[in-house]
Amino acid sequence: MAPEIRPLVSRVTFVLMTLAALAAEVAADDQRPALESIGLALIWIVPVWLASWFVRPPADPTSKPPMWLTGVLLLLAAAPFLLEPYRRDWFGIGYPLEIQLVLVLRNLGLGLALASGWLLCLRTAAVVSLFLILFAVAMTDHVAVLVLLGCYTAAGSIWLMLVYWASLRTYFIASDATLSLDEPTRRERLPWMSLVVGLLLLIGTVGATTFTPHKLTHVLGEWLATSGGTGAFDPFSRGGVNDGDDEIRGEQAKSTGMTQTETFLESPLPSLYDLVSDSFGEPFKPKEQQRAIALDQREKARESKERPADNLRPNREFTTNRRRPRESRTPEDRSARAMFEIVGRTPLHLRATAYDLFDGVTWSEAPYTLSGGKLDKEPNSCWFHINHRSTGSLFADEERHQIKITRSSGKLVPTPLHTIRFRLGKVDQPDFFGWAQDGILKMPVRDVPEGVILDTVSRVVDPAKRASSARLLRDPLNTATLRLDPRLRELARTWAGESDDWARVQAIVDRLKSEYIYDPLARPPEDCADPLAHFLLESRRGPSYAFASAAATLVRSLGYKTRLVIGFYAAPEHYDPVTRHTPVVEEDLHCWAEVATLTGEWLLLEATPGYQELRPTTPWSERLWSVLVALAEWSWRNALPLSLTAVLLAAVYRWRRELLDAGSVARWHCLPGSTWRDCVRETLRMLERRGRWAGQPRPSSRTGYAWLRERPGLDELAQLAAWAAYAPHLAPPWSDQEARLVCLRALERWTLQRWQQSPRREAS
Amino acid sequence: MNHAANGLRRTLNRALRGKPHVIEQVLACLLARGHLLLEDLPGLGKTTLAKALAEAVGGRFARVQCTPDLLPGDITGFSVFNQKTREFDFLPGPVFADVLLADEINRTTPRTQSALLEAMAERQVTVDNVRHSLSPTFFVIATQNPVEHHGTYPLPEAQLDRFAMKLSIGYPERGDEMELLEAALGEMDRPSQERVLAEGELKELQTQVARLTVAESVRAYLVDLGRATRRHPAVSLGLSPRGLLTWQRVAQAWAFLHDRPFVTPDDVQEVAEPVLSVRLGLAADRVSEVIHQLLESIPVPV
Repeated sequence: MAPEIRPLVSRVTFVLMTLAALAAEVAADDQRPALESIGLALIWIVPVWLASWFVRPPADPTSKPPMWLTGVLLLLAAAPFLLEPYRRDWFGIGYPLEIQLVLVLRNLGLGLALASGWLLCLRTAAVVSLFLILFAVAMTDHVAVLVLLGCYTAAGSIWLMLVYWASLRTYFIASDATLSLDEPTRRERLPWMSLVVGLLLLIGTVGATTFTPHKLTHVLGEWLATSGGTGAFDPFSRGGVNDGDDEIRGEQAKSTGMTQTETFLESPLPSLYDLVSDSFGEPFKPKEQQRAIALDQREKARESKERPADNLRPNREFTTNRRRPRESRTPEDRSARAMFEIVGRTPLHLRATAYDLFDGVTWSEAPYTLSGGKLDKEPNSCWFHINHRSTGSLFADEERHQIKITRSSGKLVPTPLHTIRFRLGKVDQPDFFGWAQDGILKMPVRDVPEGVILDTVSRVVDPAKRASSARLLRDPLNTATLRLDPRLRELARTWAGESDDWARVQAIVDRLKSEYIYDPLARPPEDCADPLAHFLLESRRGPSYAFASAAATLVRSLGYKTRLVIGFYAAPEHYDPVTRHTPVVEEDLHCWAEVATLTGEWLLLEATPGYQELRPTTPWSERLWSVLVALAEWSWRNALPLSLTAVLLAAVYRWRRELLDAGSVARWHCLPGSTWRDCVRETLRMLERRGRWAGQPRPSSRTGYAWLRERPGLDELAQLAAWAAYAPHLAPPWSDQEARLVCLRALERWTLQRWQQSPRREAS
Repeated sequence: MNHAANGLRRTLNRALRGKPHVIEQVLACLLARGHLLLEDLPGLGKTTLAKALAEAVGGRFARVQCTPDLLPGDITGFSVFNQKTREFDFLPGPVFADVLLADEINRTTPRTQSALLEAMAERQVTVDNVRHSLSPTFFVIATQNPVEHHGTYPLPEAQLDRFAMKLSIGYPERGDEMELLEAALGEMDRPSQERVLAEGELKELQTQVARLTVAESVRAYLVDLGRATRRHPAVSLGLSPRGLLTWQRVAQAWAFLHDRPFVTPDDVQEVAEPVLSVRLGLAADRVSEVIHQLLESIPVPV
């Protein structure tokens, strides 16, 4: 490029990049005023523009861009990601992921425009600006973008003209030369390193997407915003990428899957109670040798031969004495179609039935009470509000879920724990809903139809607040009547220790979680009279209901009011990235314990290893902080080895040149080369390296001969170097031994220290 | 090996004081069998240098003062009718000398310039269809005045290629001028220099120079430099293959003068400016800068 046009082209490139950056910022959020967007973009553009005054363009524009540019580009690229959490925290506004990526590209473009003196950067910046302006035009039809597009077109025409003119001048003159051969003087070295890394990346990506399980493929895809996002709920998402508040509503029943306008249909499906037996195995009565007395005929007539169906019995029970379930419980057997599809954060516990009384073997269903809270319909919507007595002192924040009911589970309305609001399709009559038990919602008069969406808003327990302020309800009556092996009472007391309410309960749960093994197929022997004692004291392994009843009874033995709950557990690992839902299937039936607080909340006691409770979301800034804190703690714990390593690394870094030099000298002594020419070449290379480290490199246009002769005492080596390099076939005037001696002397005299102390000379 | 070259160097340095570097380059040009273009002001010692050179190499010296009315025959020589023998006799012109000084060559017409330049390239002249060979060590020192441009015929760039190098002598240093004045005291004529080279010795030296080793890496370096001149945006006329050959030969002569039996890239760089300045199409004020850029742009082989 002609030298006098270069600065002009650089400036026009910066203008192009500026226009594109403005357009991208406007397109990033076209709902706000254009002036605000332009102001936001200028926050980035102006500093870069100011910095560009301090960047001196290189003499040769085709030279490699400087190293500092990498740092600047990395910083600029990371900035939008780093600032985004704070933006969301402080201003409550944010960009979705794909817009953040575009802003990263914009910053990269600005960084490249900053260094547009280098031809490579200039061209890349122009391409980036073109991409950004096209992105802006494709994203929005905002009038500001159209105006910027016009300006961009004008500036782009000037840019093209200048670049064309500059290249024309260069090549026109060159072709006029005597021999117009425009081949490169040297064979260009292929960028092997980049090629190999690029090839490995390509092979890795193809391999990962071809040969790994289905999920990984989608996880890879989710890094790209155009693939549909991460599938997460993001309040700042829009335009169909990720799940925001814009759920697409269907008009026709069952036409697009889940709808909220579904007409209610009847479904003759098996009840939930059958599912319990399928999942946990059939209950059985241990064989007992009992003395029997013959009854008279009247009483015999009252006793029915047939057991009534479980779901019709007035007081339903859950026995902990069960056979193994019939089917194998491998993941491949998971039901093809889910019962519920959940949108929202998991893990999630959905209550189905609660059991209250425990006779040592069998849990009996708690009687219906009115304690579930009053249902209030919110005006002008189908949302229902549950009036709780409890205050919000235990809770962190609210959590939204959509539970899509794929297959009806009877009358159960599967709500998450601590639900405060819900909406089921377009049901707007409160008398459609009622309480099955405390905290378990049902539709008393009909089954919940399939294909509807249940929207819920629930509160998430904050573990910190719970530990500090949970006041648990004591239940002396139930505790007194609890039939429990004295060893277990002692066990509970030992585990719980002497501290406040929640800490004691948590200690028991932690013990169960850490010292017992979850085994869905473990069952006590058939003649076992006390399955709970067997589980806690002997086998120490069992299914989830063993853990749950152990937790419930042990905590109850301390005097607290507890209950056993059967329900569904939406596991995070079952999240399906393709449908972006977490399916809940029959196999997700799970059993857990709950403990009551003074305010009437039932708090989850998840004692089964591998099962988690939903934790509150933390802002990005807090997460970053917690990572930093964890890092600091870890560093403090490993302070000695870390500081030793750091000192060692610093020392190695400080004396890296000396170490490398010593290594190469040692190698020179061991392998001095087969001929004296090799020996001299190696010596020259080592001296060159020392000179480079001392800030006196050999300019590429100077021969080793000329460079060495500038230093006292290196004349002989300079002669040798010239002979070695440029007289390959002439017999030298030295013997092999003499040449090697000269090399050795030069290496010994011109040590690295001497190079560093010798005054720097300007290469002529 | 270099006894003769040292003698030449000594003699010339005595004749032209305080310009050892110029003398070195003139010697390199002579040993490379090239011709020399001196671009300098009058009175700086061009003629002195040329005459001293002619005397030292032991050849005949001739001088042509180029004017617009100078004819080709005045340089090459012409035939005259001999009344006695009734035949045409050829009267050789100044071109048949061993060292020819063509003063202010840009003042004569292109026709005359061409005649001289042909003699320089071919080392022969053809008069009346008869070919006359010139001295095998024929050496031209042409001068031109860089200041005056009125009534001149600048040498075309293609013709300039026939010179091996272009030099300027420049003004001597103060001390040298003092010595000059001192030496001139009581002296009527400039003392003639003794002959340094024996008959045929110059040819022998030139043969030795031509045989000097040039490693392949150095040849590649020369080729790279040559190609770089053709690509450089400031150069309108790049280096021709003939120029490249000349450059190699001059570099050989330079190595020879420094007692080295092989050429290094340093030799190539040392002679780059005089060799390139005569033949590259370049603005006069950017010559040094561009040649420096060219040398910087190509890494030397090590």
